Amino acid sequence: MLAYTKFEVLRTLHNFRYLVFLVLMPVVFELIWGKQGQAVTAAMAVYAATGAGLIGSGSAIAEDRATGWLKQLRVTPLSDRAWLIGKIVQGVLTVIPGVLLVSVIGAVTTHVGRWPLLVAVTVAGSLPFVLIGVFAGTLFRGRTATIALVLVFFTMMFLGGVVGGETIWTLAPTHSLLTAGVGVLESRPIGAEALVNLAAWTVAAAVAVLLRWRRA
Amino acid sequence: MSYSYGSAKALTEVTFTVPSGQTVALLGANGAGKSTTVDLLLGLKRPETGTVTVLNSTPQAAVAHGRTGAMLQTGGLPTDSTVKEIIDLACHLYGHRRTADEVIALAGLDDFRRRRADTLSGGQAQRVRFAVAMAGKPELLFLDEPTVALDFRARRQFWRAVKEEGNTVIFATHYLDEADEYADRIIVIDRGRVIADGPPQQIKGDKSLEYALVKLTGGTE
Repeated sequence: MLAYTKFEVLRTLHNFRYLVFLVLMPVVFELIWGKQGQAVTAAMAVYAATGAGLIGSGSAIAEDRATGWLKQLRVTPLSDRAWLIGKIVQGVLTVIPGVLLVSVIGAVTTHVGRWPLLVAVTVAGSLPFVLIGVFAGTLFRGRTATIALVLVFFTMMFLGGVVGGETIWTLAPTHSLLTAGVGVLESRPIGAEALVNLAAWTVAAAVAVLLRWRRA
Repeated sequence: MSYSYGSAKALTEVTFTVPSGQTVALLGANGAGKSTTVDLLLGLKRPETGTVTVLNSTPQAAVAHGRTGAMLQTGGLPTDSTVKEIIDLACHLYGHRRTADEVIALAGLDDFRRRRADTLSGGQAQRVRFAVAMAGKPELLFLDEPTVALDFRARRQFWRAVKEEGNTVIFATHYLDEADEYADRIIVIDRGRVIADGPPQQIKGDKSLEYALVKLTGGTE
């Protein structure tokens, strides 16, 4: 499983779209707007975590189903379970570059002292997004999954108030992750509401993945 | 064994046994049921009736223990990965029975190590898939239409590499010439049934097969 995870991490790091849209874009936004305060840094860390989480793992699954690479893997000794765990672990790991860069820039430009906590919270909180991405990757084939995930990404960003200012839906996982991120930067404890909501999303997405993945 | 896609019967009571060391061609036109047979032998599909035994175990167990290698007709390669990364992964999954360098040499991929899989030509990609299939020194090798993307010279090279291994090989092809030249035995599949099974000389000499074989003789480039 570790070898497979490493393989998928390297593969993602070679992906141009991942590097531009899921690492570089939040970094550039942080450089432009980060001076406005810690809330922006938290929002950009959530952008990086949500985007890379949703798209970084799941879209490749859909692609591999379409090209036949998944079928080829299934006739190697890699078990279905090791494959699934490998993809989920890769999804969380490839959230790190964007989140880390945004947080470090925040630390340098606006003296966000508790940036390591922001990294820890947003990387851990990316798990439900990774699972939603994996679910979409096993549900849709090829490019359709990427399009669906990009739509989910922007919808969740707006609903959760990560971009656009107002929070439209307080139960959006993006909102909970933002609340948690801003909270740790301001030295407040993470509220139970945000944790429970993220846990609920994680469980729901995990159930969806487990019900669906064997048919992929 | 038998298999259907919905109401369409893909295989009807296909039965055969392959002894160790033999190279067997599953010969048939497109849609005859060759790929379905290979999928059943690899445990990707389960037969509706009948049983499949591969290397004295279930197909799933043979695959899980890395005793088989397979090059699938519809097997693609991952985008964004390099040839070397793909082969490293394959060597690891098969428990390092071969080094990556050995596999690269075997498949003739030395000049392509650092190339990304999605930039390879059809023939080069085919070699990478062959490398993945050979990474575990398989006791039994499955090749589904292995030389479709290859020119004449590359086809010869490919078969030389396969034959040097000396393992049991089951390959699906719609080229009569390829089956004749490289197989010890040909199983002719037509519309999901085995219509003939024997050494190439016998198959080619069988007048009753003329109709089925005439569809397959135009295929050699």
